[in-house]
Amino acid sequence: MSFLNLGLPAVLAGLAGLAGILFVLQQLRVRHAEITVPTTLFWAAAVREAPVRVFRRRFRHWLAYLLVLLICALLWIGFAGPEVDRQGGAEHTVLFLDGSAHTSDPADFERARRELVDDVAALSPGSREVLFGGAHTLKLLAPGEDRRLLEKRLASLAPEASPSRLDEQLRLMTRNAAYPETVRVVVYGRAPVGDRTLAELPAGFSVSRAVEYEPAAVNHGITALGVGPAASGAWNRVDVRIGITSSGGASIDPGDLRVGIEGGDLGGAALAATAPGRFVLRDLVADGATLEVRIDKADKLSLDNVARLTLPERLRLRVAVAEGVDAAIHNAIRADKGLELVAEDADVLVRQAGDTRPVDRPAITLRPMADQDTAFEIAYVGERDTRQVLEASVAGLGLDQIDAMALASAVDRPIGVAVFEGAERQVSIWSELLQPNYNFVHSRSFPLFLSKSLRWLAGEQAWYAYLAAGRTVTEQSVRSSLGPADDGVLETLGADYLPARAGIVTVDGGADLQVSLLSEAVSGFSAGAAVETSAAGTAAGVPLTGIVTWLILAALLLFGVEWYLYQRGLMP
Amino acid sequence: MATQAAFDALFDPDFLTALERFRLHAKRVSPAGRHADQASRDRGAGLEFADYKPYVPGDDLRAIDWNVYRRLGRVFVRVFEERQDLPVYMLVDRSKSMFLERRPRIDAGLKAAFGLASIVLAQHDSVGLFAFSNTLEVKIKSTSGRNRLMTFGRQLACLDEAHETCLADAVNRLAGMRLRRGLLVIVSDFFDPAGIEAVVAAMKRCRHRLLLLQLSKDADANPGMHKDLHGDVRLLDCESGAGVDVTIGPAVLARYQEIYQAFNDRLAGFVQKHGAGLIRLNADGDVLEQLRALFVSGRLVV
Repeated sequence: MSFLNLGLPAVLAGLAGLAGILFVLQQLRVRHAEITVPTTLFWAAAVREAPVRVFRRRFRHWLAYLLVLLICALLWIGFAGPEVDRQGGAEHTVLFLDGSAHTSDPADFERARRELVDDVAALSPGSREVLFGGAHTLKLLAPGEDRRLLEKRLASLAPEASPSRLDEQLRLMTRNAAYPETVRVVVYGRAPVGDRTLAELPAGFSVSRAVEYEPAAVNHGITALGVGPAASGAWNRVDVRIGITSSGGASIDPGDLRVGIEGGDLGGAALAATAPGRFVLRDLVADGATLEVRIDKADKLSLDNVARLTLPERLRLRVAVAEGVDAAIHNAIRADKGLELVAEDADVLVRQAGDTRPVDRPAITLRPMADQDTAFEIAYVGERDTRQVLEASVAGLGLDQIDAMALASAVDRPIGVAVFEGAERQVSIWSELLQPNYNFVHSRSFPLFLSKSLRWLAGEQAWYAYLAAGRTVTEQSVRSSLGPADDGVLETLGADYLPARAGIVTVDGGADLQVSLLSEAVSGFSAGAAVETSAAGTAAGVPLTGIVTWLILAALLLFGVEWYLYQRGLMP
Repeated sequence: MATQAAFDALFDPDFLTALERFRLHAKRVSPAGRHADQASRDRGAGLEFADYKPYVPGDDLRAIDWNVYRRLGRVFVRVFEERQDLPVYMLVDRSKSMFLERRPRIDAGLKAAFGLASIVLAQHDSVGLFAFSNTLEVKIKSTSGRNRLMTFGRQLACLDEAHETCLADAVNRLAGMRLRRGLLVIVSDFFDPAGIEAVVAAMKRCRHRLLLLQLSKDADANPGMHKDLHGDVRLLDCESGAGVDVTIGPAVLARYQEIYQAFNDRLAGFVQKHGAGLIRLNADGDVLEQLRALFVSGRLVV
């Protein structure tokens, strides 16, 4: 036995509350109906020995209290909606409505939605729940909730441009101790089940699909859209690579693609095919603009026909180098076309530790080993986790490319990295490391370290090779790893960041970045592992509508009894 | 019009006809009354032989018993019992409690009083009518003769609702009036706020014989019969308006019944001790039937 509208604890709590309220009301109730009688002579004498009941006196009329409590309890239980679970409550059914791009075809989604609504009506409310797997998994109906809520909640939902969350949801469910031993997951939609996920399901967990969809139709989808340094070597230009996946035996031509930047059409001439379904856009200006690629061809799914990418923004960095700084620094800066040596109005300084001029901007400071305990000291701005910053800085500034062992042997001291919070970004290194007798300035890691350090100090915007829904964000600079964490959604939080759906995400500093679907599984109509097809509509339990009726009739009968007793003066 | 309607309701020929065979007998009436049918202590002209006495000059020669003279040689005269009338005083309660409820007690009270009056007047006794609530009013001091019944009835019909019950005071006042000793019939519910003890004390002081006509209802003894008398109620006294808050339950009801029984017992005890009469008349019942049960063999001796 369970309850349709309320859980057992809520029913019991309600009963206890009713009993308490009725008890208090019984205590407080002093109802003086005024009745005119021929004389009060005898009553006055009788009351002198049995005084009238007053507030908070001895509790009386237990039977009357129990009668009223019984009536209220019957009505309360009727409201709670008792039901019988015909399978004894052993099996729990999870109905998973796929709201990912897999089922974004309107006909597919509508069919899944309709099947879901029909099946929910046939299931015992206490042993089923309904999930919606879009960009995030939503619980549409909790166990015990009235199924009439489902239609209303479904009305505002539509498939989203995101990969399927079914595998992730299945893994979470198997780890959730709240589920009973036997769980049946019924999938409504085309969301594929991974082979590995299916194989790892524990005993008692089963997955089936409610609707058998027809094989994949003709579809094209953009499954790759990434940016990288220009092959031409131009420091301020990038190449963009595009991948198209086609299913149903179809293929795509460059003429079927529309490429535009900031709303303007780039024209098919800029597009070069490198392989079937692979295209490249060369030497696009890295100015932070939004690139849009669109497939101009009718097919099954529309969500994967468009992808957008925010191009990186690469500006020439102005560096001022103080007098007395080693020539290796000058040479490395001159070699980098993204850097410009200036005497004034620099973005970043490179200076000696003994320089008496005031430091009003980020700088690389060369400090004697005698004055600095650690070979590399990095000052960052803002409250960050020091360990996280340290890990990020080693990779972000290219320190992991340095042959630390060799350097340590040469200087006869350990080579370490220290990070600390400061008012201004600073990088401080031992000045001795730049001397020719150490191999640091001759190594390949030195210009990388110098370039990355200067760009981080200048606060250059991070850029990303691609941003795909449901895939880990991989940044191409140290910017977000060491930058301030005020409002950046892409800030590392000790875990990978996965944009949930195609759209726009905002990084710290307020820049908006485009995220695209880019899913091989979606565009290729991946069927995943083979699962059984069976509807969830085998009735596991039914609400006891008849019992509710009897409960209400019993309550009404007791109302009649109370009225009769009241009229006969047998109860107060 | 209201009075006429009340009189019409009171005057029921069938009721009066049924009462014609009833007689109210006094064991002995006080002297100095009119000639009538009730036995008295007076000796004189009459039909019932009472005794002999030695002849003295002036005695009626027709009363000399010559047979005794022949046997004894002495002259005796026969003495007869003089039959006189019984003065009956109706003291009718017109307080508010008599007019309360769907079938007010006053209806039965007036009918019973009217019936008794018809019996009294039919046997040549005299009847007076006094009404009381918080004051005593003399409606008819004394009247006799069968033809005075209508007058008596009209006076009864004129009795309307007055104020509070002051029965003890009314009895005291009536006892203080210089009336010939007779039968005082008290038609009341006896719900005197002064208490039954005050009423009993007043009745003790009264020199008339007493016939108490107590008007009651079933709900008086068993208030649980009253559909509204349960639970938490505020009882309002119809006369004083004072309220009493009561939580009516089995214990209170039981205690009430004990007190009411004690009230009745006190009244009955007084009646028994002082040779008075007590008629408990159910105001909801048939008055004629209840009177018929009292007049055993058509007689009620007081």
